[in-house]
Amino acid sequence: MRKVVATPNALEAIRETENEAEGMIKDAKRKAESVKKKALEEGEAVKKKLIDDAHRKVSEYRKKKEEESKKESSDILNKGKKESSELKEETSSRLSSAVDIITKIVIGD
Amino acid sequence: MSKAETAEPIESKIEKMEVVGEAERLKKIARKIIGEAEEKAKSLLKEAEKIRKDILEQKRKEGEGEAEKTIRSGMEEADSLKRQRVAEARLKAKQMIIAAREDLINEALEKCKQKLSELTTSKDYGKILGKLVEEGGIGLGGGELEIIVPTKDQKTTIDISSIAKRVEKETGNKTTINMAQGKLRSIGGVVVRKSDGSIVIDNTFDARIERVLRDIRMQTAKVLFE
Repeated sequence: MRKVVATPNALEAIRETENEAEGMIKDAKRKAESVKKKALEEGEAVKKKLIDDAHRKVSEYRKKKEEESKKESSDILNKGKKESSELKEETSSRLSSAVDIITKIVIGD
Repeated sequence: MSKAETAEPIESKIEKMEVVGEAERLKKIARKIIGEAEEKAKSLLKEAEKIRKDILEQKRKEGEGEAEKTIRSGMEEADSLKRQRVAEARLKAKQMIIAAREDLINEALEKCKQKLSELTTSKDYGKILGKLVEEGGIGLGGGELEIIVPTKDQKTTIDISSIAKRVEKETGNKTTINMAQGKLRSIGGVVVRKSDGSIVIDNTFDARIERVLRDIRMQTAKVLFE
């Protein structure tokens, strides 16, 4: 086995280098942690935007459907009113016949 | 990370220093230590970058999934609300038509009551009243009968004895009919009852309308709407 000889200066220099290396790794770890943290923030922001966009889309869709239903309902009700009114007009001429029939039923004719 | 992980053992490095000059050896060792550290740092950052991409991808997927769910349920809810509102409008429109029909039937009924009221002042009313008394008398099976007419109709002439004969003939029971005293509130018509009050047939117009209301409604609807 060989005998290893190193001067104190050499040992010190090596320790300093090792410290420097350790610092580099610590720094890289900090950066990596920072990258992950930022990624989480960025990811959350992306997720939030997607969800916010979806809510906006739904809100627009709901508004559109509300307008459609208002229009359709209004058309249906107007049609109903018109039909009721027409029914009254159309049947007014037959009213006296109906009255005659009811009267006959009541007096047992 | 420990020193042992970043570089080879000091003893090994020192041993190598014997081969070349100390300064050179030191430089070589330093380069190696720094090189390894750089590699490690690079690897850490590379891994962090991969994790960053994974996180972004995962959050994007989560966002897309949640967004899709939100859109799907939101749209379904909006569609359902629309269907419900339109259905309500259809029902209202239908009710309007039903109400219009009902109004017409009620109008016909009111006019009929008016006509019946007018009829009580006509010359034919005596005959109508006689017919109602006869119908009631037969319904009671003849016998000792009483009739009550509304106060306003008490002057109307009814041939009571002829009616009694017809009832007697129809029922086979000896029949007498007397005009009873009593107040009767009705458009017209008559109440016929056994003299002991045991059985009563209400043949007033109001009561007859009530009895045949269902039939009247059907007949009226048939005339008006078919």
